[in-house]
Amino acid sequence: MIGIYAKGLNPREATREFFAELFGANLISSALLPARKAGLNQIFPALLSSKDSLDQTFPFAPVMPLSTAVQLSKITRFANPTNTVAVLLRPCESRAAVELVKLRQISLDNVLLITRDCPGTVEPETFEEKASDTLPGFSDFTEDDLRPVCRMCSYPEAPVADINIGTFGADAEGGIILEAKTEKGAEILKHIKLEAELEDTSARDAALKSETDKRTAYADKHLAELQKEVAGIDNLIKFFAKCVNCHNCRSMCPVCYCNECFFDSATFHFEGPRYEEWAARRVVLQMPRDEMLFHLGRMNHIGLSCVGCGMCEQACPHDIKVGQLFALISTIAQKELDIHAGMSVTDPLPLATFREEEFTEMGEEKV
Amino acid sequence: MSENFEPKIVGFFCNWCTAAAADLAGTSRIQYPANVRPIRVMCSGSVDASYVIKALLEGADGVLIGGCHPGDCHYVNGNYKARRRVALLKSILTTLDLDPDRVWLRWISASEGLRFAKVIRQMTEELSQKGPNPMGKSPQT
Amino acid sequence: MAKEVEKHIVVLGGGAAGIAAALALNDLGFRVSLVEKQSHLLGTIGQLDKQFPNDACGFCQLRSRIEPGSSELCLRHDLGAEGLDIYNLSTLWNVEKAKGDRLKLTFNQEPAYIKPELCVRCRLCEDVCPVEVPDDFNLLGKRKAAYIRYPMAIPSTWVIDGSNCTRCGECVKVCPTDCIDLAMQPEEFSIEADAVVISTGFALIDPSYLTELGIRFPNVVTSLELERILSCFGPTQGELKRPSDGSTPDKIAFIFCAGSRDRVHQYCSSACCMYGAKEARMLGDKYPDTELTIFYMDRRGYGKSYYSYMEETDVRWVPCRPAKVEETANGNLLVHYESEDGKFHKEEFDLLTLVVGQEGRAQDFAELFELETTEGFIKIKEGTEIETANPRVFAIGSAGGPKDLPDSITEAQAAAGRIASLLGISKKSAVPSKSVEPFPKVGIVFDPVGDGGAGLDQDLIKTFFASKGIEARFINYTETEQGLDELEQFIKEKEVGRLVVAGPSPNKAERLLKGRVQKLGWHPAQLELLDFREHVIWGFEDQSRVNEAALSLALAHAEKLRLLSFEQTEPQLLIGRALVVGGGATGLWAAKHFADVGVSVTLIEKTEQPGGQASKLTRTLEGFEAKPFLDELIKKVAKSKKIELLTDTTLDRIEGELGKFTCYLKRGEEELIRGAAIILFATGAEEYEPKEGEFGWGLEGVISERDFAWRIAQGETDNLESVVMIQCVGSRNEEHPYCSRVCCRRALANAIALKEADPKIEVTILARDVMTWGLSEIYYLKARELGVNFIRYEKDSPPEVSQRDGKLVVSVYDRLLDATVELTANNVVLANGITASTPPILYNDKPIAFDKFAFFAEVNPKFRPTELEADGLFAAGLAKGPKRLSEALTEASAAVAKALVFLRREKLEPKYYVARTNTRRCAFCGICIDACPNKARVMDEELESARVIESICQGCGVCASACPSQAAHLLTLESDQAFAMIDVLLSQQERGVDE
Repeated sequence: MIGIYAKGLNPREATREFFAELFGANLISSALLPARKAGLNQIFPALLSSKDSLDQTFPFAPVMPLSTAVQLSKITRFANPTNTVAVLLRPCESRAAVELVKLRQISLDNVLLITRDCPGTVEPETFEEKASDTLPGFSDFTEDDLRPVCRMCSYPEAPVADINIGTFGADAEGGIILEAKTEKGAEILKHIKLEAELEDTSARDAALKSETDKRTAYADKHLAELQKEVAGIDNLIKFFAKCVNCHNCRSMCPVCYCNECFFDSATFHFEGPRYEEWAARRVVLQMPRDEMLFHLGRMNHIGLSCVGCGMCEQACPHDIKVGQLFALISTIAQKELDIHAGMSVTDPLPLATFREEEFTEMGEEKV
Repeated sequence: MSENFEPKIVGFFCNWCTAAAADLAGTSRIQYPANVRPIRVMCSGSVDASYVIKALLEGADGVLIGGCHPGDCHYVNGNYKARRRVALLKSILTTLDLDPDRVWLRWISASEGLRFAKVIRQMTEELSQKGPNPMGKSPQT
Repeated sequence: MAKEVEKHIVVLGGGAAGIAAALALNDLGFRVSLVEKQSHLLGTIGQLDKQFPNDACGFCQLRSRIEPGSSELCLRHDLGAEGLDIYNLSTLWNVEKAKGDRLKLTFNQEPAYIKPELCVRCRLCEDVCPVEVPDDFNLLGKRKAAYIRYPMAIPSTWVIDGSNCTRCGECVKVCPTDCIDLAMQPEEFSIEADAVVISTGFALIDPSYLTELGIRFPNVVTSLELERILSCFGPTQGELKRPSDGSTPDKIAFIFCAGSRDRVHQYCSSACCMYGAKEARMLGDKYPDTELTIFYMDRRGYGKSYYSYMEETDVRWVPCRPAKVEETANGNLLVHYESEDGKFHKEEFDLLTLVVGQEGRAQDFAELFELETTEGFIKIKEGTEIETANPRVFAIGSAGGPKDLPDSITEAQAAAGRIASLLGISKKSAVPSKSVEPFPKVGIVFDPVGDGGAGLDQDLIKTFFASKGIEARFINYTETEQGLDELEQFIKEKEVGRLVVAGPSPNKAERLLKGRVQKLGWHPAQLELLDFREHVIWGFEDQSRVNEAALSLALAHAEKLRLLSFEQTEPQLLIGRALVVGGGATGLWAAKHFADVGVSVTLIEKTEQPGGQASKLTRTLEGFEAKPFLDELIKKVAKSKKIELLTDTTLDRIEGELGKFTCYLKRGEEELIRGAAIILFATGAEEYEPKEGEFGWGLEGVISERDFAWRIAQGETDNLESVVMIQCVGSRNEEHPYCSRVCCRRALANAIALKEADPKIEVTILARDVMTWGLSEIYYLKARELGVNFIRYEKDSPPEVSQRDGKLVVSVYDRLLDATVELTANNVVLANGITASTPPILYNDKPIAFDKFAFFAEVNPKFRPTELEADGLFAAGLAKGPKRLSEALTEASAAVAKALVFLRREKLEPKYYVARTNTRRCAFCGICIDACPNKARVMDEELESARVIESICQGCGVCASACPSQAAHLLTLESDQAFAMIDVLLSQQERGVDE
């Protein structure tokens, strides 16, 4: 089911209206939405218990301080909420949420998963600079303001949702395009008054395609440059030159779900003589240790789950382009292994499973 | 490359097949270059990617993971899981131009003592051509 | 309480079946003596690198899965079990009655001329031995008189072949441990056995009489010779070369039934169709461009997955027996054959393989035990597969008739089950757990084998380790008694709490060395063997590097041990009860088995009456009456106090794990709950119901084979003039791509009964391949002698059945005549196959795995035939695939034997080769659950963590490498140990020996 909703309103107002209707019809009892931090010019996810505070929500604010998928995990992981919670996610957040569902860090049992089209986000600082009493919208920023990972993201629309809120292909004041993508979503939409069924989706399809093409072209070019920049160990070391091994990148990564990171564990509590030994072999042992092992190890841990949201990069205190690097390795790895993160909650966990017919040439070289 | 360069190979050999093949090579006196230093693991599927990376960063010129042939795994399918993990690791190493050809996965069954020796020889030769692993022993690694 | 007398079982013959029986019996606490006539065990299976139907080996899967310390070593190296004694070179020559019902067996043991306890496998004797004789293992080469059958043989020690030895004494001079005594004499020994398992296997048919098939030509090889040619340690090291000129053949033919189903051996050898196909597959895999042709008589792929196996074999199948083979000038073979259409052909091949079968060789044994034989195979009691006229003597595998490997293993395990029923089993109490405390002093013992370590600089090595605070000592031959004593002395003197032994391979010496340190109160994990001889001393071509390798490898392992410490968990209590699902013959039989050994059992049956499919059977082909047997069995089960029989009851779902399953049962609306340590599924199967019109189904006079058997049994054969039987109805097609195994035999039973009742009745059997494997082939011959007509049809041209003038008309394409023939019949009898009927069963919310045919999927079709993926779950009988009644019962006995391994224990002990979960770190993601191949991991909702069932875990560590946080970790190689080893290996290798 796909149709136009709240024609005449802009997407923000239309979405607020849509949530108000969900609350009003008792279809949801709470909602996790991007909202303005009281008295501040920052947007963070907030759990709303009634429609009364919907005016504080900014569903389309072009900023993402953290991945809401992680917050959804906090709400659902240990025990399901009693009543239905609606959550509004960007495509990258939805894909992270799908990964976390696969990893049992999120339960969707009492969750209405609503996604919305995403044209991209800017860094929180950039957002704050433009903010005054009114908060800036997407159109207040230029293409160059956008975070590079957003510019290369090939998912303007989320692949998994109960209901998607579409803006691509809709007029600026033309409301939003609501599309049910699951039976659960279709059941909800039955109770919502759509202006009109969207019979012809060609405008939306074209808009999405053109957006994807633009981003893919950017990604191809940009990632190729990045790949050159990091090629070989010396360049990789240069790339991470400012890394202080703080592990902020992994703290903010939505798919780094471990309770305690392996690279923070007691395995890395080495004895003094070991350090002496390392130093002796290298003459100079740069501290802190095992920074490269951490990054390469993490690539192996999450390369097949990375959704390219770039939260790692946003969290890096030294602006290392770690999100772009992970986008590079994970794009290629997911393509080569034919395992695509965030596409289905029923996909198997990649590193625990296998397909008999894959990589059959490996291990076999006849000698 | 320098005539005297002797590549250092760390081997992770599965208990059931490749370690037994190495035993067989020994008892049959099928000899091979003295460049491999084996670590016996229960299953090729137990080799963590971080062990391989650690070895490369610590100066290994090559890492050889040896397991049972597909279908022959003592643990039913550990070798298939190993295969996918090595595929991922190699993909990442390729992307970063970190020479994926220094990591070898080979199925060597318990009766393939000869194949074991040939793999060690071939790997030693190829790594000798390549020269020392530039990843190893940098102050930053 | 009086001390229980240990029951002693003798297993005669150390081939695959004998070993399987010995291990299964040993697992049940019996003292076992495994006696082999040859120098080394592993008979034919030792010569097969891979076996069908999974084209792999997996022999190690026979090992006990819960005995601590038993699951780490390759079975081809060492059977490794306490209470299992191996006697090689021994021949049984006398059997007499002893006290009780025991049998006193007396053997003659030929001398090995090498004392096994002193042999250190250095191979020097073989190197100097001047005598060369034909190699009976690799078949196409030579071996010395001082030899080991093959490098991984059991026992792992060398022997001298006394009949060929010239007593030159060269070997005596070089032996470093003085273990050779050429004056050794044969010895006699006796064993009083409570039961005997004859597993003497088969002799390969001597093909020398097959002159018309060209056996004298160099490029005609037997299938076993081809097996060795394809083996990587065979005469050509795995390269396909033809004997005459070493060239690689492009065009290869196989002739099946060479020496089987002929004038000399009337029976079918059972296994050859499949192993011939396997060889073709191995060839095709390795040499994809080779053109492969198989000449066959019937494609007897009668096992569950065998039909699809053959279908997937990419060869040209030619149904005929070639008449003559000639040799051409270039050594090629010209095969003369007549195709089914009656045309004669001459076709040239580069290499020809005669797929030779099995010859019975149990005659002598049968005489000693006063048993009858058929064609050299021991006569088996009707209605069973392994029982003989003597209730204490069992014949398994090819001792009782030509068998394939999967059936032989099932029979071996079944023998253990039958013997448990007969003699009872001893209970096993748990050994208290033992933890390993951190950071003790590490010692290293180097044992490089005498001269082999010539390049080693002992002073340098000792000084090096002294500088590291590690005690190091050189001890020669640690696997000998003297070596072990010295090792013990070293431990005591230096007060080390960890020991690395850089010497023999763990595969050969681990049990001995660990056994010794355990006597000192050590945990076996405190000792680590590193294959220094094999991997360094013998393997390195550059001996100048052995010192550096000694330093780096020994130090790395010392580091590993220094970092070793763990807490052992407590043994887990077991529920002393079994649940058997399904009250057919299989389930009843299993329940009675359990009751016989004193195990309580709940037996559930979904209908109101036990009996299942067996209650619909009449007489078998061999004349066994199923009904009286079944009635008797039902009576015994009903009377048993140990058996709770619940009819009208179904299994709803299962929760829990090995030792403590919770089974939710449904009886009407009522829910019943039973706890069980193990669950055996004997849920049966159903007869295929043809679709309306399929082969005339629904027409008057078209009847199923089973119903027809009843009519014959009741004498309703009057007025019959002509009967047509159609085989493979609902079998070997797209929907059911397997042979139903029972139907051809049933058709023959019906046909023979008809002919015997009235020879004038015309009986025609339309079959695709007549599946009378093994000794039942004689019934095929008998039917033909009685005048039963056989017409072969192919899957793509099935017979059509219609009705005309009140009679049934069957039209079928006859290849011999190259025409469609019409047959009229009073009755058309359809051989309806067997279809799976077990509904999905939830175990911990996930369905138990079925195979692609919807039968239960065994975890390993050859070596663990009754075990399912999760330990503690078993399946037997029709639920697991089509089989005859006697085979189903055999499988039930095998499953019971495997289940009793658990049920004889009060508690399940934890092991050292296990994974664990760090509960604090576990994010409860389930990745380890999916990664575990043994279902040894469960999500523990209470702990909010994954948990390892340590009795099931086999310690592979796949979970640990899947878990990104290493919350799942492996006790035998923790990540800090691995990192430390990597560090040491690389830094020391680089540093060399200078520092």
